[in-house]
Amino acid sequence: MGTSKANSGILHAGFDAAPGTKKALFNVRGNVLYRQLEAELGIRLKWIGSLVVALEHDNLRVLEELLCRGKENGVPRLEILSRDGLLDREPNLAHGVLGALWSPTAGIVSPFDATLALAENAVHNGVKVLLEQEVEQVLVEQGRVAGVVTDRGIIETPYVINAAGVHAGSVAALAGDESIAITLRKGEYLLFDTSRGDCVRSVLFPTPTKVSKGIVIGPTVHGNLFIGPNALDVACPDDVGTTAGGMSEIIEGARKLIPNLGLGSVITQFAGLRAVAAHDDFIIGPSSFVRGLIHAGGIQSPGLTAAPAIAEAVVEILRDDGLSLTPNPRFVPVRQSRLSFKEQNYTTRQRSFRLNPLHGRIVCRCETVTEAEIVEAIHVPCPAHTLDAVKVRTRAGMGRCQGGVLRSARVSAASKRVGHATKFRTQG
Amino acid sequence: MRDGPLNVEEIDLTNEARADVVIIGGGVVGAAIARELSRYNLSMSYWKNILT
Ligand SMILES: Cc1cc2nc3c(=O)[nH]c(=O)nc-3n(C[C@H](O)[C@H](O)[C@H](O)COP(=O)(O)OP(=O)(O)OC[C@H]3O[C@@H](n4cnc5c(N)ncnc54)[C@H](O)[C@@H]3O)c2cc1C
Repeated sequence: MGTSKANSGILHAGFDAAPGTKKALFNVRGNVLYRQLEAELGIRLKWIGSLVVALEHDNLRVLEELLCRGKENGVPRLEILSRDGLLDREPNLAHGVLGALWSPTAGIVSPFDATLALAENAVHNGVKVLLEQEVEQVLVEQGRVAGVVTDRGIIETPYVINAAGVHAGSVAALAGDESIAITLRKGEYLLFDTSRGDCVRSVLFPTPTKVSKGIVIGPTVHGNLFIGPNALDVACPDDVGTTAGGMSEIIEGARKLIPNLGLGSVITQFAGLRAVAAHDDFIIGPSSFVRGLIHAGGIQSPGLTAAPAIAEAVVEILRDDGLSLTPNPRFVPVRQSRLSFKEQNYTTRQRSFRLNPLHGRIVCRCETVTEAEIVEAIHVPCPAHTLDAVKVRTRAGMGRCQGGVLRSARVSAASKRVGHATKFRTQG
Repeated sequence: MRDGPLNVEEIDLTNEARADVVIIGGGVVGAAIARELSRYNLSMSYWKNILT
């Protein structure tokens, strides 16, 4: 999980992308599909809506444009709200606000949770996962994909799907397809603890300009508040550090929307990399150079929202190419979702403790994560092999103290108990 | 297709491994494609690097 673990976690409504683009098409369809995924996979998400806020008179014209664009893209129930209704809804909003575009179909999701839920369900239905292995070579014979070479062996295959995020260009090149150029654009964030989570009810965007979408402010599904991202072109795919300049930029941007935003409850900062394709749209389709190579690259925002729709499109591409797709009679669309110990009520916690006494040991106090949950994270269908992976599965170390009092010794002990030889690293 | 979840360690690439489809990338896009493909009766779908 590269960029999928460092983004805004917004399920965009779909008014932003230009009509007719893949971004627009898959955004709107993906937003609809998440409603089904919420029911089937128990993904944590909230349909809280979004507001594009106008602070200057010129902005009102842009809101009208976005409304028209959204309607053309098929986004339902968009409306422009006046100042009075807005301040009732968002009392912390800058009082100079003039109006906003309201999109009730926008939502927020935990990007980790969405990715893991999809992955776990895929594994449950027979997909095989190779963790932490790198594809080093794509084998091509007579112009057609023949297999992949990983750092642990060869897999013969007639089809390779290139969903390698910021590395999509290099993966294409491994097969001899040099057509994919990806620019890396960093976005930095500040995350606040849950005491600020109710500062806004919906996701707030400033009115976009020609050069920037601006700094967003929004709640997370876990009740935190985030501000960001900015946009900074970088050269290295590992460059996810944050910068002093970036922090100032996002604080200044966020305060245009919420002037009284204090910084006392900031708990961490992070950054993610957008994989920007040369023509600025998603690259989804068969390679023009190598048969059997299908690209799902250049998936920048709204890629999180669009992912389920991109998946549908990729399957159709495979079908069109002649891959025989008979339904899997054992496909189970539903994942049994688990309430975390923190989310359980007193009675359920008592039951959990009786079933597994390791629930009596709290490993992370801020997020109330138990040792039993750590053991489970190391044991699930897509098991955690690193401390970072344990974090995203359990939220251990993601609370106010950011792992300051996380009992990492206990995490390691738990890993040994389930027979994992893997040493836990603090970074993924 | 097998019953129940697969233990990742079971896959042995030292023997000749074959897959109908290999997905490179275990972010949200790779995961969504893997899940969509699991609706169909493919002999195997591999996908890489789900989490780091
Ligand atoms: C700052 C920012 C904010 C964003 N906000 C939003 C938002 O609010 N809403 C939204 O819808 N979208 C948003 N996005 C976009 C969204 O995060 C991405 O579109 C999405 O996460 C891309 O997923 P992916 O699976 O393509 O890539 P990734 O998550 O990067 O996954 C690619 C995977 O491929 C693996 N890989 C690469 N090369 C190889 C190899 N050779 N062998 C094996 N594995 C390999 C990597 O290790 C990685 O795990 C945002 C993006 C950024 C950067």
